[in-house]
Amino acid sequence: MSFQVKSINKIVFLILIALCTGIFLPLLEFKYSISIIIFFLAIFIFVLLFSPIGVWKIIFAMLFLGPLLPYSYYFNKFMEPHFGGASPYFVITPTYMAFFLSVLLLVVFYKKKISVDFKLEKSLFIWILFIVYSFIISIRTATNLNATFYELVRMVIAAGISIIVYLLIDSKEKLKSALIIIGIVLLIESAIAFLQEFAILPRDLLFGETIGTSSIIYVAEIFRRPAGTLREPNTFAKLLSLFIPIFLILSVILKERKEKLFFFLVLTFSMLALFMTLGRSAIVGTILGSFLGFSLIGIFAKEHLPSKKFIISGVSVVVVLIAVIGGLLFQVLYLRFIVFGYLTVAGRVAQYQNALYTIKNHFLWGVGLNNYCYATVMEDISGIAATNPEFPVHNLYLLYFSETGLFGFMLFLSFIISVFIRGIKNLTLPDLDNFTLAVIVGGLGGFASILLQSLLGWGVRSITLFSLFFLLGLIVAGKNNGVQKIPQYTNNGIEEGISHSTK
Amino acid sequence: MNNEEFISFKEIIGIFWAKKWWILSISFITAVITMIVSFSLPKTYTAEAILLMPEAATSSTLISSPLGILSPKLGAGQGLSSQVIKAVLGSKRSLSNVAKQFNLQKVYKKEDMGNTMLVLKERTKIGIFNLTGEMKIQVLDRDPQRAADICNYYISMIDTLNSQLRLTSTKEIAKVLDYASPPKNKSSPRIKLNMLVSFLLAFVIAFSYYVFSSKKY
Repeated sequence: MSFQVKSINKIVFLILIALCTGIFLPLLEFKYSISIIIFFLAIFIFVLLFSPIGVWKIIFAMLFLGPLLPYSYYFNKFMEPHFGGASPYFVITPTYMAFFLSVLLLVVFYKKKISVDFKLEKSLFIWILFIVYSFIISIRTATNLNATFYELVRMVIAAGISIIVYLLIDSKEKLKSALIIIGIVLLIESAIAFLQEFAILPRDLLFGETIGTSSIIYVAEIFRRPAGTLREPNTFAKLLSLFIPIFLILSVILKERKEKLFFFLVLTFSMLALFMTLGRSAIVGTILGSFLGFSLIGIFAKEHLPSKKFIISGVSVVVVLIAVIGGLLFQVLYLRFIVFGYLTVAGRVAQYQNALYTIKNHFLWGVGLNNYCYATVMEDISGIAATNPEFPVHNLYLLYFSETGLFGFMLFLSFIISVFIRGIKNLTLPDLDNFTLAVIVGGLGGFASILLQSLLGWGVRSITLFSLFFLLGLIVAGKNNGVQKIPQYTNNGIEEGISHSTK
Repeated sequence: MNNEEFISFKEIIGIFWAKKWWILSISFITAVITMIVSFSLPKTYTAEAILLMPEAATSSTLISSPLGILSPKLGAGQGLSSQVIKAVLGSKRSLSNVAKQFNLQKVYKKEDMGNTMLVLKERTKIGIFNLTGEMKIQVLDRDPQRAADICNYYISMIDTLNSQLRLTSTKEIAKVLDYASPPKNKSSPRIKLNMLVSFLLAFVIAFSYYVFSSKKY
């Protein structure tokens, strides 16, 4: 039963796209929204009519690019790009568009695969439980239920992205192509960051160079921090920190020269861009996440490692690279890490005080998902909420605890633990090739990196959420490759049909 | 795919269908228990008053950033800040005045004034809405009239304490947008909402229990 794209599907799909963009266009809230729509449409028309590369690659690239495309978001009077469309207004972001159109493409091109292979991974099931629980609790506790709903939509879409990614990547070859796509995008992002660093491109690709008058922006303007297409350097740094461990491990353990060179190039560019962003927790998190990745390989999969001499030379190159970058940027890094570190400590401690007070008062049920900012204004024990009402506590765990209470927090922790347990268990699987191993281990390193950063930040509640779940999808896809395929799924002709249509 | 790690939607629906009566019964019983408990809880009312922030009222700069010396707006604000008002109202002097005025030691059934003030502090919330220029004072009490009276008494104390402490030469610093009026509806317990939430929660918990205890997951 071979699968072929029928012309009627193309027409139906194009009509749907036209209708959808017609509906979404007025809702999009940024200056160049039309260009994004045209960009997506151009891709689809190209895919449908002339594509030599396969639909799955387009879906994959689109889902990866969605969270990287710039858009504006307004929180009351402040423009805060890294709020990620969560509250207080509903904004159709490029990520939502990418997800929606991906689902459409999947339905049109992968209908049979979805009906056979559409399964929910355990950690994602726990995540969905967490979403449902948080929403139900918020009905009772939230000050602003709309804000809860908007965050709920984001969380569901993040889970959806993860599912689509592991559904699409069902072979080692596809995983390799996927990593190459990610590598190319990161290379482009890093190149944009270099151009921004040297003032050839504006830091804000949507609105150009802007210097705000508010005190917060005033402080941030002391450093020139490139943000790639993301408009916010910390978000860009978090994106890089998610994927750097994978490329680091790939560039160390792969033996094929061309691949190794490419991944090493991506690693170098990404590391340089990461240092340029001056994202403190992201830099520390990336280094620790990479060490975790290496430790996991050392403990669970020694046989996959090349010779000691090779590893030492590989790691030495990375250490020298970091040392050179660190040396060149020493003064700026010192200023950013030490001087401004002390300066922002007071604000963060005040936020922790507020969060702990909120947790104490709402220990079991919390104040409602995405309602922290609303709730703390009335329970502002430290006074910080009166000065910076738009910033939640800079600790993701305290944030989820205060918003969803004890049980919600336990569910969130269960989700994290389940990801790691499954990842580590799969490292012991037989027939695991080097590439897949690197993706699982590097993915866990990236995951750990963002979790460490979350001790001092709340970045996962921004656009980074989508990239994180994209990475989770890759880790799960890696697991799929290491597991023996069940004959009923591989011998019924569907795989063959899909590979034919998406070659 | 590894069956231990994945579950299909068909299987999830199958589990629900097989255990639907158990799941629904547990959810229903939980909702009934919640209703009984909610009925037995004392009613609480929340009274609210809204003031204009002094900074907004005098057209001066709102609260400056905590970033200290690097903030270009530091020192731009004139007169009394909202945070000072909040601190004054949350002080022992203020709480003691309110407790004595409304005989709260007897109302709260506390042995000493210290514990009475602690309860009053927990039941009083003062929020500064920097972005809209509002200050909100909320008071929770079992009696709606008393809740509103306490709330309004707090407002009257702002000017009194201002002259006592000589905080500013301006005599009237409290610009009231809305005085507190006795709330018509109780703020808790919200019985129907509690029942709905407990039903849904029990449903989710029971359902997930059956999914996780199924052999395939």
